[in-house]
Amino acid sequence: MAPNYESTRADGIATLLTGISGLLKSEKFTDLEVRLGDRVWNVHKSIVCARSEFFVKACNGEFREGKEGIVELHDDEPDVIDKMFHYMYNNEYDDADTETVPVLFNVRIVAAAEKYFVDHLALLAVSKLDYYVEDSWATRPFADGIEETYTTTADTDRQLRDAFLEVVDRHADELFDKDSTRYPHFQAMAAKTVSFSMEVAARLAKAEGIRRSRVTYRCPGANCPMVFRSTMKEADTSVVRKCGKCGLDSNYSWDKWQQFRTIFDGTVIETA
Amino acid sequence: MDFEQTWAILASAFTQIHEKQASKLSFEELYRNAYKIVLKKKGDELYLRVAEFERDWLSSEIERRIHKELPPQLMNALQGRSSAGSVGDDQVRTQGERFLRQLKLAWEDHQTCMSMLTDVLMYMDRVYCADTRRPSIFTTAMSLFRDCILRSHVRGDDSWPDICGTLNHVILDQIRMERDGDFIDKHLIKANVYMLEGLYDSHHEVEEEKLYLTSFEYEFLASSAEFYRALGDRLLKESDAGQYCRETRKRIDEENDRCRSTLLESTTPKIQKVVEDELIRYRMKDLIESESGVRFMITNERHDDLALVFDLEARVDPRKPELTKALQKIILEMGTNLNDAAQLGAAAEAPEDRAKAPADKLVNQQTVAALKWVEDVLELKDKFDAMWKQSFQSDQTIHTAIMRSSAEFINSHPRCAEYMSLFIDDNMKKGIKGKTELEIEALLNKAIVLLRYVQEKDVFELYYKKHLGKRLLMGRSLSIDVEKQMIFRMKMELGNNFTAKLEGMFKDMTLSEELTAGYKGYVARLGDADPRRIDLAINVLTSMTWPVETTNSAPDDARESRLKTIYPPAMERIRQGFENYYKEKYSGRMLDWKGNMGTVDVKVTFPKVPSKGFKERRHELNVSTYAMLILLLFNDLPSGASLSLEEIQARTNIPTNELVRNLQSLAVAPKTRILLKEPMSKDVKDTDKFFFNEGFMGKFHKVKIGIVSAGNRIENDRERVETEKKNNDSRGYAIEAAVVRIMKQRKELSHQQLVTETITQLNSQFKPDVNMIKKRIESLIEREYLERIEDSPSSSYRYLA
Repeated sequence: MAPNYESTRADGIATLLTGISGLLKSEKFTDLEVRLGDRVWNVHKSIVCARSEFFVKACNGEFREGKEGIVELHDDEPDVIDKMFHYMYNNEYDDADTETVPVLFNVRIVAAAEKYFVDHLALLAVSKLDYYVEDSWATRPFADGIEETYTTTADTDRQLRDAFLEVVDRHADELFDKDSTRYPHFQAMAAKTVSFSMEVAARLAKAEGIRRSRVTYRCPGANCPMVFRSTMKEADTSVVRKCGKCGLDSNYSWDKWQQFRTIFDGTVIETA
Repeated sequence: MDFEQTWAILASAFTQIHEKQASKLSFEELYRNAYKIVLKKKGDELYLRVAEFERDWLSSEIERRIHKELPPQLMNALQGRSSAGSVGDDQVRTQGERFLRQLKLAWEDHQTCMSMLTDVLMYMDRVYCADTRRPSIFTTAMSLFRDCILRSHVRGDDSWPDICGTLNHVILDQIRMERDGDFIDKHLIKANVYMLEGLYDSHHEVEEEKLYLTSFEYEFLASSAEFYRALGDRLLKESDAGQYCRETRKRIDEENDRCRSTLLESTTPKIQKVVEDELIRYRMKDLIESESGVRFMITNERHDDLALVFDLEARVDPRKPELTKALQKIILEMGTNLNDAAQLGAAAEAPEDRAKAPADKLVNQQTVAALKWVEDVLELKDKFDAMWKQSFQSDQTIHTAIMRSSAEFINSHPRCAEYMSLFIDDNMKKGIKGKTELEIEALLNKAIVLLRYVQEKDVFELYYKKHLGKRLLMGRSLSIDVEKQMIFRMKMELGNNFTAKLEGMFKDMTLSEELTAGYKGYVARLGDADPRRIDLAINVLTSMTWPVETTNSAPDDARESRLKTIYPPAMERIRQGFENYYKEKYSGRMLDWKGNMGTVDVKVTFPKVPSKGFKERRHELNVSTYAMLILLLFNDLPSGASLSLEEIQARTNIPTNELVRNLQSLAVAPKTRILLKEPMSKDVKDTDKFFFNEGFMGKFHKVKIGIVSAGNRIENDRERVETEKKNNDSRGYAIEAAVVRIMKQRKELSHQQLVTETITQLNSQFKPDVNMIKKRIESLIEREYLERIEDSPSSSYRYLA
């Protein structure tokens, strides 16, 4: 019995994708030449315009590119552009075979994706970057990656920035050490890249604010020596606590808890 | 990167783009430069510079080009147009078109350039504008076009409208020309309309603030209203209503086309409303009531024009109030005219002549008038029915209006039920003679249609029974088959209840034929073959089924009604014989003989009258049963002897009024004077003496002696009072029956509800009078069918089983 359509659907789509992927390598039927320095890519308007709005406008308008069928790029890194076209035809790219280390390379991919409006490429690049960023925090490319992020991508791109900031957060003590000796490269970058430093400062200040807003209370249990800290607010009507020492369950409103406020200078025994 | 340097590259490229020399420019280069500026956080400055650039370009180069096309001459002409305005149309038109063309060009160029700039500035739009929530540069540039061009004043002169206002003027002027029959460049206007459609009144880009709506459409509608108001005035004065309608239709179509080809389709409903308001809604009443209006159209059968009036008013109001009102008024008037004419015809003989004119002649005249009334009503109805189909698209509202006003004038004629019945009577007796089946069918249909209108169905039933009864008993119907068809139709239309008694009458007739035949056989079997035996044909009528006046001879007083008519022995024997035969078949039934209804064939021999040279003559006289009794008295009388009226009455017991009528037939009617009266006068008095007229001379062997006014004709006043009383009685019973039916089911009910339900139940028969219902309820309470419910907030009743 002949296979029905539904069972062949996935195969069909796979064939379509393989066909499109092959086009880039074979350079068959190309109708657009993209140059960058001495590198040339022969591509298909139908493919690149489907994936990048930059190329739509470039090929579409009354400008020279549209008439000549040649787009000349400037200021870009050939490897990045190469991966960008690879992505357009394959919906993926490999960051392992480039000369630039992945942390930095993927930042450049994000920048290119934003510059040329290649859909979804930035997302893919950030997810690849996430994989390397934690382990590379102490390296020079980490600092370079941050610098390039803050100078070549849009401020609105939070994902890329947050990926770096979270790592910086975790290692702030070391990266911003008092002697400025261990990570001079990072600190030089931080000094130069003001918007980055501002964001780091904002994050740290927020964490400190939370810490400071904590108040010490003692356990309501009779004769229990336990104290704890809480950020409970006036609006809270029900704050539940189970004492780790005497096992007492308490559930009071903020009002009621104020009777148990205490000043305690010793070690914080418990935080909640 | 140096901002100024980079901007200089962009600015020079933008100039080239505006000058349409972009083909050498590299998109990538421009894009990259703009991209870099934004990346360096200078998006804000770039944005402002681009806006500034556009402002400069528009308010220098483009404004100059536009203003050049507005010479003072044109501006003056446009301004003057609304007040005086008689500048050469051609020149204004050419100049106006040039202005439109220039504006269209400027707008289209601006759009093309701005879309190129937007492409170059895509990164700025997507990153900077999105982040700071600024409108896109394209949007801003469009607003700039509005501010720098459309809101600019020619030569800076504020006393003239700005370019936008001028544009409105020019477009409206062109539309005016087209309305006056000129050709204009629609595409050119449409291009400018698209511009207004693409721009907004302020930077809030909301649908309602489109310039097309805020600036142009409002003025267009206002000036159109003015135009059509004036046109409406002129048309009403100069054209007849038909022309008016045609012109209006044409104008509406034109405005629709204009919206499609020149303006925007979204304006279609609005301008339609303007035209409809000005030419239809506000004018319909005047138009319909004008000299050449609906009345004229109806009188002159202008079906197409009526259709136009209908079509126009249907556009503005599905209820078509003015047309409906006019139609109702006209129908009512025409109907009232018919009613008046009928009354005039009926009263043709002035009251003072009445004494002299023979009563039956007057009655006949009235009957003719009644028949004519029905014919006229039918004709009127046909006319409006045809109009309804032909001109009013068989519209339901119009139909209801025609029905209502027809019903109104028909029922406003107090004798409509009687007339309708008479009309059917006349057709059954004469009208259907020689007609084809189809024609008869149509006639029956008409009768039914009329019947539908009559509100007092019970009165109609009363008359119909009476008329049908006479037709049947006197054998005056041309076709019993058609009679039955008529009854069948009434049954379909009004239900079984209505026709049950009428059908009973037909059954009686059939049974009577069988009885007559059966009795003949019965007599034959007795073997008593008497050669002088009298043939008997008999009709046995069920007393409840037949109208009372048929079965009762309307006695003058109760005493007479109790007296039994005295039959001579020969007759009495036959009577007895039949009664015996009948009682054998149906025991327990009473037979009451109606001497006033029967007829008898009598052979009479008139003796020789030598003085006049007459030989002996034999005649066969067809007379009423009573007349026969009278004539028989003279058999035993010697020649030359006389009988007085009193004597005749004493020997026959014939009720006085019947006796008088029969004596009139026998002794007064000139051609059938079998008796002679002394003194010779038309009136019959108690003391008059009657002789056998031996010198009677008839032309034919058979002589039919009719009884005065025996046929169906219009009722006289006394009879009418009688009928009304009878009708009121039967209505009373119907109301009581309905009330009891309702209460039996509902057990308890408020007065108001009971009255409403009673009216609903009886509506198909007649419209009950509320006072009568009240009285009937009272009477039912007295007889303990119902009781009042005490301490009920509204008066209520309870059913007593």
